Amino acid sequence: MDLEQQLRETYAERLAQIDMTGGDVDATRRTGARLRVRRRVSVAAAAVAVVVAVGGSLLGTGRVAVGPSHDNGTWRELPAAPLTPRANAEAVWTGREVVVLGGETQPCPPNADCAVSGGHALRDGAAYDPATNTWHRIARAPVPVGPGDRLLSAAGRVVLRDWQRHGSRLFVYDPQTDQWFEIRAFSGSMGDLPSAVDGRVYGFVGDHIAMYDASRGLWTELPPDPLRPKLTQRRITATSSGPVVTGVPADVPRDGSVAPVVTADVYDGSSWHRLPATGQVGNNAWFWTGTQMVDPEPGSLDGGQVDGWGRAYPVGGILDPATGRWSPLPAAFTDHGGGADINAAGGRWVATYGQVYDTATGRVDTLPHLDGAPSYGVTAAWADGRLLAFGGATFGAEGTALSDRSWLWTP
Amino acid sequence: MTVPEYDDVYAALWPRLVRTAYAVSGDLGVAEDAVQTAFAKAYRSWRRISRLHAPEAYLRRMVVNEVLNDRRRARRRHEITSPEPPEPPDRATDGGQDPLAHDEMWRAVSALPPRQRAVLVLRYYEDLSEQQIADALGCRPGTVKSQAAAALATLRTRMDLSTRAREGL
Repeated sequence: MDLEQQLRETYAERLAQIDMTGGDVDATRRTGARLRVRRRVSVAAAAVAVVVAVGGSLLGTGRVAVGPSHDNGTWRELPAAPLTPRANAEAVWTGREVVVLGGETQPCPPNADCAVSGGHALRDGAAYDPATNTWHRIARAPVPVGPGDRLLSAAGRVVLRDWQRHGSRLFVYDPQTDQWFEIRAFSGSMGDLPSAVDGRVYGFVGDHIAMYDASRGLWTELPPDPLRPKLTQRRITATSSGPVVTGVPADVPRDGSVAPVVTADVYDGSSWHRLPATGQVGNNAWFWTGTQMVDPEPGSLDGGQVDGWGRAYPVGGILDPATGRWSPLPAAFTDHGGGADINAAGGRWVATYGQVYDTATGRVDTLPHLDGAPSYGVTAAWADGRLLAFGGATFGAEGTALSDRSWLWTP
Repeated sequence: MTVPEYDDVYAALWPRLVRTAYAVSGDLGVAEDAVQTAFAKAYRSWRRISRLHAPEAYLRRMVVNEVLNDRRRARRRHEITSPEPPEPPDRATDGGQDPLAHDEMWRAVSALPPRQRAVLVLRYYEDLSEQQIADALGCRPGTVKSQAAAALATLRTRMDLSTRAREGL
C-alpha cells in the first residue's frame, strides 16, 4: 500500500473512532448572540473613544489614576476562624475563598536546632470568604500539612503537594464538593510546582516537564527543552506565555569566578526558545503576577573581595517572558522594610521583609505591624488584592504561645 | 435559493469538522472548542453565510484557522494528554492512554508541523483539491503543494525508520 493510501485509511479509521460530544447548538447560538451584542458594544465604545479623542476634555476633569491608597492601608481583625491555635499553616486563594490548612502546634523557634518539623503537623482546615466575611470548616486533608508542603490554586481547586512525608504525592481539594482526592503523581521526585492562571500545574520529571490540567484531570508531557547550553539549578514558573524554566547555563564555571547570571527558556506551545540573559544572579522565588515574572529577593551580590565579579548583580528582578525584557526590582524594595514580618505573593502584590510591593506600579510601602499579632509563623495569602494573615507563634520565657486570630489588610 | 437552517447545518457538519480539527490540533477538547467557536462566530453573520455557495467550506476554513491561529491551542499541538502522569524518561511508556497514539502513522502525522497536518487532513480526509485547500488555509496552491510534499517526505522517512527499527535493522 502506498503512503497516500495508507494516510487515507489512517484518517478514515482513526478519526471514526473518536468519542466526541454531539455539540450543543443552543449554547452555541447563545454564545453567538452574545458575540453580536459584544460587537455592537465594541462599535459603540469605539465611537465614544473617537468623541473623547476629538473632544479632548473628558479625561481632564475629575478623573484620577486608580492605585493603592497612600495611608499604607489598614488591618482589621476577622471573625474567629474555626481552627485551633497554630503556626506555619499553609494558605491559598482559590479565586473565591482563602483556604487555610494544617500547621504546627510545636513550631521550632527561629535559630533553634530543630530546623525540620517535629511531626506535629495538623490536617484540618478552614476557608474564609471575603465576600461574606465568614469562615467555614473544610474537609480534613488526607495527610498532615506543615512546612515544606505546598498548596496551589488551579481551576478553583486546591492542589496539595505532600512533599515532606510521602515524597511527591499530590492531592486535590474540590471546594464544590468539599472532598479531597488523590491524583496519581510521578513515581520519580517532583520539583517545583508553580500554578498557572488557567489551572495548569507544572512540574519537572527528569529533564522533561509534565503539566497537570486541574479542570480536565489530564497530564501532559511537554517536549524536552533542546536548547544548549542546558540550564542548571532550574526553577519552573507557569506564565501566560507558557512554562518558563529559569536557571544558570551549564557552561558557567561553578567556581564562582563568573557571575551566575540567570537565563530563561520559554515553551511557547510549539517550541522552546531562550530569552536574553537576565541581569540577576538569584533564582529562588519567582512568581507570576498575571503580566510578568517577579523574583522578589532584594539586595545584590558581587562575588566577594577575591575573584569578584567586578560589579554587583541584583539577586532578584522582574522578567517579561513575552518580550524577554528583564528589569531590576525597585530600589525602594529592601531587606529591611521594618514592617510586619508576613510573607505572601499573589496577583500583583508581594508582602515580604516588612514591606508590601505593588508590582503593577512599582510602589513599595511598609507593611503596618499587627497589634497583638505573633511575630513568627504567621500564615498569609493574598485574596484578590487583600492580604489575609492567620495564626502564628510567640516564643517567650514561659514557652510558646500560639494564635488562632486572623486579620485582613487592604492596601 | 433555499437557505439552510443554522441548526441543521450545525448537526450535519459538527462531527466531521470536529474530526478535521482534531487531526490538526491533536486534542479533542481543542477541536470541539474550535468548532464551537467557529459556529458561534458564524451565528453572528448566519444570514450572509447561509447564502454562500458553500457554507461548509466557509465553516471549515473558520475551524482550521481557529486551530492554527490560537496560540494556546497550538501550545498543545505536540502534546499527548493522559489521565495518568508521565513517567520519568527511563520508565516511559509509549503513548499514554491515547489509543490513537499507538498507531505509527498517526504518531508520525501528529509530529508534523500544524500547517502540514492541516494540508494532509484536508487532502486525505476531506478530499479537497489543492485550490480548495489553498482557499481554506489562505495561501497559494503552490504553497499547498510544497507543504504536502514536505509532509509526505517526512512521513516516508519516519515510517521507514520505524519499520527498520521494528525489524532490528
